[in-house]
Amino acid sequence: MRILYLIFNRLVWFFPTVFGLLLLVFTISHIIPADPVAFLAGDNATNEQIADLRAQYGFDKPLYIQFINYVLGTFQGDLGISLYTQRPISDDLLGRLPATLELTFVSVLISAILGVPLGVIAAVYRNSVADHILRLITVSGLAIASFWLAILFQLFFAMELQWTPLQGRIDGWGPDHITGFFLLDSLLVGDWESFGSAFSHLVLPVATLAFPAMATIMRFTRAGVLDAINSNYVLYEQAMGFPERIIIWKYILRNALIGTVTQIGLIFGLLLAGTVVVEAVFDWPGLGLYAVQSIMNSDYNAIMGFTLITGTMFILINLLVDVLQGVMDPRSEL
Amino acid sequence: MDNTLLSVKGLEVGFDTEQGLAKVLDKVNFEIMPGEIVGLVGESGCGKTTLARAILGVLPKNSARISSGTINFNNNELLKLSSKDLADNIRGKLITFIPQDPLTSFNPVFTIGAQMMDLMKWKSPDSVKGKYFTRYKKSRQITDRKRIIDLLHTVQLPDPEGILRKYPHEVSGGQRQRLMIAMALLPEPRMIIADEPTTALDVTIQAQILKLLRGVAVDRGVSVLFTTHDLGAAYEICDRITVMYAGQEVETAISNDFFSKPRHPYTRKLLQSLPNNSQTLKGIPGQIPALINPPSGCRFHPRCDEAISECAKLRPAVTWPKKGHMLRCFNSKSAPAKETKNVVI
Repeated sequence: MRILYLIFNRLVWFFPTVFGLLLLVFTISHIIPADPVAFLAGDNATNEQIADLRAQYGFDKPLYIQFINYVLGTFQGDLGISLYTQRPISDDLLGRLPATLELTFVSVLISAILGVPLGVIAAVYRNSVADHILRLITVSGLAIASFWLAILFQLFFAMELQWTPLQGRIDGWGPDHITGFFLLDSLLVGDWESFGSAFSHLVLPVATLAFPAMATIMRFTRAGVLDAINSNYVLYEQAMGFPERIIIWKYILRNALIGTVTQIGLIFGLLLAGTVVVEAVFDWPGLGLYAVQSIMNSDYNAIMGFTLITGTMFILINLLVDVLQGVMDPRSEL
Repeated sequence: MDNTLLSVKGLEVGFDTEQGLAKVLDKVNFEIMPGEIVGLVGESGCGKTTLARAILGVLPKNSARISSGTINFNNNELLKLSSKDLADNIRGKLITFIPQDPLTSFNPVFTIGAQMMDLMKWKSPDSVKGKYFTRYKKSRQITDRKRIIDLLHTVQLPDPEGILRKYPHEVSGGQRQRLMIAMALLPEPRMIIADEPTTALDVTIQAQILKLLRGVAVDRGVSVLFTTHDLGAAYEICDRITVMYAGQEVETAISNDFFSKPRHPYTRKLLQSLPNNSQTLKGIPGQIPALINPPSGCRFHPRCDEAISECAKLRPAVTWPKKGHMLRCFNSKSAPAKETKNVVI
């Protein structure tokens, strides 16, 4: 009951937030001192042609009408036409969405699988050699720029050692299209060759994205575990002779994870932003690469579409995290 | 072997601090007989909690130093046992614990029932010694669950089934401490260490909890080590009371003698400082010494009106002015003072 109420409560806030995002995206794209119509019409267009184009794209209407049309269009899945390719932006984005989601999901998964246990170890053996080494790793994870790390990975693992492909998402055509996630699709149809190829292509971009994410998760888990270690309930559990491994990996970790889960929601935002750089370096055919190309081409509609879809994803993930946090912490206020 | 259940001898415990080693326990001797309820009273920082934690073996690992002494419990030398042996076979099995603050001592994210069942998984009287990796059999779960429900009735909790489904923050403070008492009894221990179990509770609830704790302990013949700074609470529950001052035990007496014929100057001052209907509040002049560099000899001598020159040189030896009444004071004048007025509690 409590959880249903929580979900409902968060969903109520979902729509105003998305509306705010729409308003923001619309405003920013309309205060940019560049006229997309002039760009479209070219250098030699007459005033009449420009006026026609303006009417065709609805740019002659008052701003609030334009905004209403934009919102209505968005809710019908129409993000407008790319000024550059003349294709519907929603088609472009949806086609590229799985590539980016695959990259971010795998990165979050890897960073959590590594970051959480390492954070626990750093806290349990605080100020030991292991803790100092892990601290070195977290600090470098947060300090090293991802584009530099990506290029370094390419030079070493792809060029020098030739362990992994240099760039791209897969060799050949990829598995039959079911979900668009290559790892999942190749597993579903049992296409092991594609799976291997998709996997090896994922290694370097995931490593680049997961490194700083893992560092963040490790730091938050360590802090959470340290909080719990000094709590009265851990003293009580020790005084009652509960096994040490149960105290650490069940009682302490379960409390520490509440903070970590919130952090993972924020990391998603970090990763979505990170994909822009990483996809550009690794030529990964996802949303980030599309955004880079759109910026190069001054394709405002496409940039708006990209911003909107990544923003919505971020809101959705945080909605999920809020609910998850409510489930994990029975004391949390609704 | 004599039948003493717990016997602490010459226990010295220090804590590493930035200023140096704080000598928190100075060669403490302490005993509990089977089925006896012993109060350990003293001001905050006198070493009550350190003694309780030393017996349990849960002193902070990185700062606490046990430099000498023995802790004999049920014919086991606790300081010689491995920490795993202590955790597996002593703590939660033979010695259980009731904490000061029941709210923060429950794990906030698990239901009360889950925490009790976890306790029973490892500490139930049926659990086999040393077998920690065996599955928690369904049949054992059923008998253990019945044990829990029975015990919740014993500690007078309404609707035990409902309470087990709740989270710790969803029940009242008094109920939480009743649950803690139940958890301390579940493994059927020989001794319960109750570390200021009523300090965090409303005064009106304190008396109920003390009565309950005394009742269940006497019924089952379980010994209780009860630490408190509240003499009133000690009076309600204890058979015998030991007073500690700055890490030294100074006097032990059965409760009646303790309140009517206190002998040590510190005990007398402590009793005089209780609120009383005839006089205004009296404190004890001076303050608890810093334990980094404590006073020599009897640590109370700088605050003691009756101190003589020996007090600063040597710690007074144990004397027995009466059977069952232990005193560590040089001053022979520390004979029974005039009968103190009835203490208002």
